[in-house]
Amino acid sequence: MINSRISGSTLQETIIALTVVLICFSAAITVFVNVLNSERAWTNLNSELLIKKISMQTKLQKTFFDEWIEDGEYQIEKTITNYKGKKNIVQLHLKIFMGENKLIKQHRELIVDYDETNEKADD
Amino acid sequence: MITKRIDASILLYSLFVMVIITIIIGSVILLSYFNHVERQSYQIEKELRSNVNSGIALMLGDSEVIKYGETASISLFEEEDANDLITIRKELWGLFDQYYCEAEWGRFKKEKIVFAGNYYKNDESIALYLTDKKNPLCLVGKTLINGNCKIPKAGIIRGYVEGRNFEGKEFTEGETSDSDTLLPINMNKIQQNELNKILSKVSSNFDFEVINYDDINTNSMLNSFYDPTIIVYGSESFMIDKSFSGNIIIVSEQDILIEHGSELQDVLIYAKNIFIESGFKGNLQCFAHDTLSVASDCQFKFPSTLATINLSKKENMSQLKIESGSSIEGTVLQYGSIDKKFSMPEIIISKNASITGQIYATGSLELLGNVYGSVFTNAFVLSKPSARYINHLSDMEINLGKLPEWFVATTLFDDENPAKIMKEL
Repeated sequence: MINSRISGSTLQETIIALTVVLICFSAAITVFVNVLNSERAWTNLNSELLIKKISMQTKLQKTFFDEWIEDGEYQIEKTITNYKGKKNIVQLHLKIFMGENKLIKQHRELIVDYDETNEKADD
Repeated sequence: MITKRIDASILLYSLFVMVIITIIIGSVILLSYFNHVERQSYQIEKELRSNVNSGIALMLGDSEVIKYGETASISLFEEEDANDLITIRKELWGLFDQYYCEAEWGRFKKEKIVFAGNYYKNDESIALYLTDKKNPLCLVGKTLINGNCKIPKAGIIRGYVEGRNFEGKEFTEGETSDSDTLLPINMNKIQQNELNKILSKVSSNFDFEVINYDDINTNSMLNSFYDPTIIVYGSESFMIDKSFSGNIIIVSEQDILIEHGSELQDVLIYAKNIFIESGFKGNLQCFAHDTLSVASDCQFKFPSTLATINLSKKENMSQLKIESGSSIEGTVLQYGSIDKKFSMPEIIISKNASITGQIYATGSLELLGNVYGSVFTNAFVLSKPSARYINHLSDMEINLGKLPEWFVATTLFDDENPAKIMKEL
């Protein structure tokens, strides 16, 4: 038989403590989830996927000319220039805009033009 | 006035709650920080990867941007705020061009090595280049030549060998034009792969780790192209019965026998004489000084090279023979002086052997097997028991149309075509 008494807390104290912990925890999680799912993160991801898609299309379909592409809420300015006067190399420059011409990402890369049939503006 | 007394254990509870809250908030802040750092790292690595690919594209598109054996640093887009500085290097790996590109920013580094070549199928590709030695090309039996041809001014005529005439309707399926008296050649690629040049590299022991073949105890050796080259050397003849892969050069001053069970990938082999056992499969580049003999039913997978290079001016010093049933995806090269009496062809491709790629022969070529690609030669020889016929082709096929679209090899002459990637390492 246990004779010693264990000191405890009242139900009121426990409820207050648990409530404070829950409020703080939910606030912190909300902030963290918001950071992860923020519009910026999605915008970044979407613009990267767009860059990849347009770059691949340009290489496969050999569309070595300037274009203005609209894709949902994004606008893409595609510029093709001859790279430093070299016959078989073109420079692809992509600018991704959102909303009222807000530049959110840009990408440059060099591509070998094996056909060399397209007229390109000099850089 | 507060009359009610608060229990002292409340303080303990408050502290406990504060610790929990601090841990939770700290964790969230750390997670956010790491998330941010990872995202930044990803962005930088992505940019560096793109720059490395652009650097490779630059070397593919412009052969003069850098010379062989040189290293250069280039700002790709020449913008102050861009992290676009790359380092490029061009070297030869056997006959292949080896392009290296590196982009570095802070602790981040991306690098890429590729094999590249200028030979692939396009509108201007040549199926047959036979130099003009004033002899016409004579076709016999069911011979098919598909693709553009450069042939002697004497043209193509029907041949008549052992009672057989030409049985086709047209001599060639493609355009024909006049050839020159000499084969076009880039001597740098030939000289760099001559046995004596390689042996001088071994003796200089510079930039290479040289291992004696007899000292190798393991059954397999792998060396990355991102690490310094390993040279496996033997002054005497030896047999390769092990597995070698990657950035390895195997050299013998005498003979090398490649056993059919050995596994060889991307390596270079140099010897006075090279003999390859029947049934061997692999992808490698072999350079013999005198004799290269490929027995029956061997498979040299893409991209491979079989070559004899003999810079001696003595006649009939080297021979390259590929036996029946063997297939080669790549380049077959014979460089040396021609035997003007045609007593023995310098290169023999037996019946039922096939070459997907190109044959380049400065000597005379006895071509009995099929070529799905191109042939560059100074002369054809057709040996029959009764006689030896010069510039005759009988019952074989040179078909550029059957060269796969993805196929890339090295041109042995200066070509303005932009290069294509043969293989990423």
